[in-house]
Amino acid sequence: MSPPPSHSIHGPPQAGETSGPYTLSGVTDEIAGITLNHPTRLRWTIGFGICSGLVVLWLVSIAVLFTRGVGVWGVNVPVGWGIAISNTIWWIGIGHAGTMISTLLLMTGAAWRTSLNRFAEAMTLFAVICAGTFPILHLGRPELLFWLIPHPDQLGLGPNFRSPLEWDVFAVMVYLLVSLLFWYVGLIPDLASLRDRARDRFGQIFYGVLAMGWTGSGRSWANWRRSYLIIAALGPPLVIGLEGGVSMLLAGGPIPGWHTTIFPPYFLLEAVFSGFAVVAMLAVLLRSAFGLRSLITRDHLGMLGAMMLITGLMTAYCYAMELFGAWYSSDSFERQTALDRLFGPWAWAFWGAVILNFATIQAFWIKSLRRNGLLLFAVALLVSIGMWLARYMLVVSALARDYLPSSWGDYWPSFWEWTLFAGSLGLFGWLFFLFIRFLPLISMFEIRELVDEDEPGGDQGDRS
Amino acid sequence: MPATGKRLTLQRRTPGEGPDAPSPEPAAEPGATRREALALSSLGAMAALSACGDTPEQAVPYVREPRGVTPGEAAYYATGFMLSGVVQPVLATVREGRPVTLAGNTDHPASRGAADPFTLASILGLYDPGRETAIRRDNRIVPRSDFERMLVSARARWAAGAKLRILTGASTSPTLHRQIAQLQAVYPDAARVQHEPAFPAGAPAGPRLGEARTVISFGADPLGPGPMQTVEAGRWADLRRAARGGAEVTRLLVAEAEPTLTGARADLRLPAREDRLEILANAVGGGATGELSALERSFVAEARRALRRGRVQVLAGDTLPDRLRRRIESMGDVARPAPVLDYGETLAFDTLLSELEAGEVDTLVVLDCNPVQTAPGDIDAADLLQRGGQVIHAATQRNETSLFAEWFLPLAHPFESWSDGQAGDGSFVVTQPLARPGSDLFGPHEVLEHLLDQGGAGDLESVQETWRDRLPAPFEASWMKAVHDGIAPGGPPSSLQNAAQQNASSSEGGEGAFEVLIRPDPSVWDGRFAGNIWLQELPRPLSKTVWRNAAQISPADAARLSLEDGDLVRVRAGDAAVEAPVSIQPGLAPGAVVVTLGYGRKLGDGEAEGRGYDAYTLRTLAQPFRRAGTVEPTGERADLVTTQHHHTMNGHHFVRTVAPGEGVEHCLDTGASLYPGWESGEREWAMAIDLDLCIGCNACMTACQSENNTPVVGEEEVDKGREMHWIRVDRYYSGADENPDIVFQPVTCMHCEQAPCEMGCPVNATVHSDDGLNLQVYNRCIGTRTCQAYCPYKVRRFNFHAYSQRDPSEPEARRNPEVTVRARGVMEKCTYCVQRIQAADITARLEDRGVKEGEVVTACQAACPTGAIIFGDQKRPESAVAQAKADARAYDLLAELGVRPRTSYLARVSSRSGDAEDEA
Repeated sequence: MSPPPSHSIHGPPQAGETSGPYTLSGVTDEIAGITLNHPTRLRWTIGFGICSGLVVLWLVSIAVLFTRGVGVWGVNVPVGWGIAISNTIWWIGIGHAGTMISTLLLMTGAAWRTSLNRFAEAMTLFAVICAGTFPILHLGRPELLFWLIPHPDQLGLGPNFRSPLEWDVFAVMVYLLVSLLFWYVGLIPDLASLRDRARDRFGQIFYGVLAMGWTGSGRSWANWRRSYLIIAALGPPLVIGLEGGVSMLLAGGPIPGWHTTIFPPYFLLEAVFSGFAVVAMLAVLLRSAFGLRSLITRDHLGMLGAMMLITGLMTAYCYAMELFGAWYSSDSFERQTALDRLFGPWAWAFWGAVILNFATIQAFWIKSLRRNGLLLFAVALLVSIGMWLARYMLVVSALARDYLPSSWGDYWPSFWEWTLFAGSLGLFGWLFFLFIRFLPLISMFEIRELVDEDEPGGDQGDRS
Repeated sequence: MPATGKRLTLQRRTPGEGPDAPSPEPAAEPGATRREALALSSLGAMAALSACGDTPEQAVPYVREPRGVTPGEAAYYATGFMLSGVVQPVLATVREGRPVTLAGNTDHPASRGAADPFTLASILGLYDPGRETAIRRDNRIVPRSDFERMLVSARARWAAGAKLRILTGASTSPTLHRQIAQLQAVYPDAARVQHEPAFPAGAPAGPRLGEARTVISFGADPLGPGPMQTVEAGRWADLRRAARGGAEVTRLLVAEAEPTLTGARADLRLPAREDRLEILANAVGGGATGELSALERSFVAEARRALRRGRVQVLAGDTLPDRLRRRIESMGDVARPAPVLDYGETLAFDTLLSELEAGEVDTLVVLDCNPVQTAPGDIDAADLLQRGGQVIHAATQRNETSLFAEWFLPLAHPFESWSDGQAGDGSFVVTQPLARPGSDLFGPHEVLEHLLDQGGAGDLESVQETWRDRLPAPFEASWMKAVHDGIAPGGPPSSLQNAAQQNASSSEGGEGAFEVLIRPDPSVWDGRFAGNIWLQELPRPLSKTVWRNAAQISPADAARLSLEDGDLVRVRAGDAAVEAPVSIQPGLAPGAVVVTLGYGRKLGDGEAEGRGYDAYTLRTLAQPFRRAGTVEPTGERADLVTTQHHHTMNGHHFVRTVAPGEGVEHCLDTGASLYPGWESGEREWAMAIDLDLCIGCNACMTACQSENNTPVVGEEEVDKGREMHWIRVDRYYSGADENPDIVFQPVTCMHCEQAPCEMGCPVNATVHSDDGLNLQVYNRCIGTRTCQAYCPYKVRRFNFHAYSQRDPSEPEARRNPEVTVRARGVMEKCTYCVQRIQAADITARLEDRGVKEGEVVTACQAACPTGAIIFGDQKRPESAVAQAKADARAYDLLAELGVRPRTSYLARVSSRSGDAEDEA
């Protein structure tokens, strides 16, 4: 195994960057050890067991749904889209922070991303998988899903390119592919390290195959770096495109409460905000579970807190502008929907979202608070719940009360919708547990680069 | 239903053999469970169904086509359906021997193609799996010969003077009247007794609305549901149209307790308890107004003004005492039209009851009537039936009365037998069968023939016998013409008088603060439609409740008793009480509670059994329609499902109202659009709905349901908001809850030219046709529901479950083969009856011409009794729809959205106060 090239793509290290009492091999020992030696066997087994149970619940919910039809949900006329769609938006949003951290910060050279990007990318991938299941399950005839994908057809039938939903299908598929590619390409050098360190036959073959014959030659590194950057460059436009597409799914229709031009940026900011919250939760969890306090430092936590504060405030601005737009439009239907959200049947969801999303993050104006792992976790959890409420409110309130009061309706998710949602949380956790068990959850070679450039044994590390 | 050998063996049963014949082990013991009995009888019903039409005797396909049957082509038969004694002229569509849909008989003046929901839905009864096909004695299936043997001795007794009583509903059938007269000629003490629980005065005497442009009504509801609705609504619409032609408007002043469809169309409506109507009538007639409230005084003043101007007809509700009714109806200068409906000589129901009580009756024949269910609560009809000698119950299915009758005769459905009767305008109709009955089914006239003599002529012979003298010679030709046209010559007898109606109801009150008004139900009428799933799921015109009856109370009483919709209350009148869910009805007079008949069935009518409460128990023989009583909250909640949860327009003007002669401005959606317009083809199909003529009767909904195989989803699914009606009638209240304006708006797919649904669908399952239809391609739909989310009118309906296959579901044999039955997971909606458009188009192409104006009539349009729905090609300037859209009253619903709806509305005309035009 060759050492990484001596030059760094990050430029000079900045304050707060990872370093610790590490040598090059020390970093690899620490991280690869988690994978190869599996230090938290009991806790991992318990967590994986719980998630497996939820995955079984998820499968049962799907079986019930497919045998008895989408009528087992609470959806109706007028609320044909229930929490399946709000869950989709929520999960996709969560995924975006991973892409943003990995790609945008890679290209801008913010080296603090290094401790976070690997598991954030995994989170993106799993969140998009969870997001992608809902729209498929919500179809009346899911077996005909492939009609959404352009394919040769003897009747000359094809998808409708005017439909925002059609573009969402493309966007999600491309996003999933690019996220997978980026994550996998980034993993290759680390997989090679694991291959070289694996002691059992299974590990050697498993990682060997995945490492695709990585030799670590200078030429390999040069090619790798170029392709990694190119894929990274696809990330941010895809995020913007996908969130724009998702928002157009709602904004494209003439329904009050949806039909507004602020939706694309609004959805994007909401998405990144909720994504940072989930990254923060995972960071705190992994940090304490695996004792990675010197790799994921308080500086990293502080940075995540700050990002949540920034994106949260921007999201709050969007909320305010959406309400302002409803009022300023003088459109009585828009105003009525806004009033329904503020004071009507969805006030609990609206104010729940406002309090959980925006009141909580005000703590992060204070540096010491946002560097506090426990507080960061709590706030991030509340923000995730708040974001779910916001999406629920957005989808349901507009549909339940649109134009003609005669067709106004009501909607409450049914038992099988909740189990499906719980199951999707389980699926996410299940995939994540497999990830931390079998793959390096922090990018070893990128940390090594930082160590390489710092003085070994530098003392900026977190000592707590 | 395919003719399989298995089913045919059942059908070809002869007495004494076959699966249902008596054997050492009878098929159904008296103690058999209901389930077993039902299973058995449905098996029999299948056998009966397979005998419909010209089904070949063996399961072999046609080698030579039978004459008159072209597979794939519909045959149309004029016939009629008797509802509470009045025949509704219908034109039935029969396909491959199966009657499929009904519509009004376009050639008959009492229908002009329109029909009410009861009539349109009556076709379902023909396919009711609960129908009985076996003769039973003491619940045991017996051969026909047993019945005939019994009659031999019975005839001897009757001839010797034993009392023979025949209990029927109201009937205008000349054949029935003739047969009764014949029976009376042979047997010294034979008589017919009429029992029609929905009507206080026996039955309607004829149309009530005359030629007056101003009508003042005290509790009368000519436009409301019932056998006269189609005729009365047609007359009202004609008058209103004629008045509009002269830039005038008809005026309607209504004082009534519960809001009715007539009250909803009133220019001035006064909610008043029924016991206030006499005082009000006196005041209008010149009496003192001192003790009246301000609201009542203004009504009286307005009514007096109208009376002074003249050309006024004053109507009184049927439930008012005779004396008061006569006084009220004499106030106007336009008299009520002369009675035209002849119900024949009958004995009063209470006479029969006292005869039964005394044990004097030798034989009681209950002919298509269910007295055990429908007798007033103070009559123990079950006990009385057992006191008589012999009770013979003839009905299409076993019900409460069958339990107390020794003999049960399976009756053919009206569409399986010959009969006759009078339509609402008094003209005669010979009703012909649409399908052949199973071998053991009796026609109603056949039952009476059996009472007369050994041979027992069939229905056809009986009816022909009646008409042999009445039709001009040669008989065969004029008979064929009468049957073919569905209208027979001859007018009403001139001897009829209004006074023939005797109103038994007295106005004497009992104890209690509430006035309990007992009314027939708009969905199940007197209970005879309780098994009809279309009617069960048809939202009641005002309350929009479905599947069970409620007790309606006024908002003021609800507030006083702190009741909400769906709270369970105990309505007590005298000794009787029912527990009913409350439905708060704006516009209902405070102090009144309305309960409806026909629910709380104990036996029979599948879906209906055990549903709702039985309001018959609140009745007494003396006070069948109004009692004094109380309403007590029970503190419990009950199921009460409605299809409309919000009742006001929220400050918008979805239903526009203009003063007479005025129009609306800039209300058609013609604005700019980012999308290019469609290149329109030869035609542009479009619809206009005249809200000034809509009375909210729901006929369009039932017509649509039968034409388009729209599934019924059941009470629980409606509760979830998943009803499937392609056209709905929105009802809005505006103004104070005590006496709101009530407006109706039928809403169906608008076939938008810039349809958001077409943009939203990712798989092109909803697309635009060049003749302007917004098409839904079922087999392309994958069920994303984007179209539904984007639809501003929320008219799209989704198959959340496989509704067409699960209970409650209409029989497959009834379905219209022209329209695809939709699968689970597929979106559906109004198609403007695209199958009818296509059929007309094909005919036109074959004849090498264009589709003519009026050639395509949608199902809803055909059914509308007031002609409020106009459909046609708007590209043709002279077409009715183009002219309607050019009317000053034309507007588009939600025109500001720019979706360019193809369906436009015409504003309702209202002269809230007639002063301005009248003083001038």
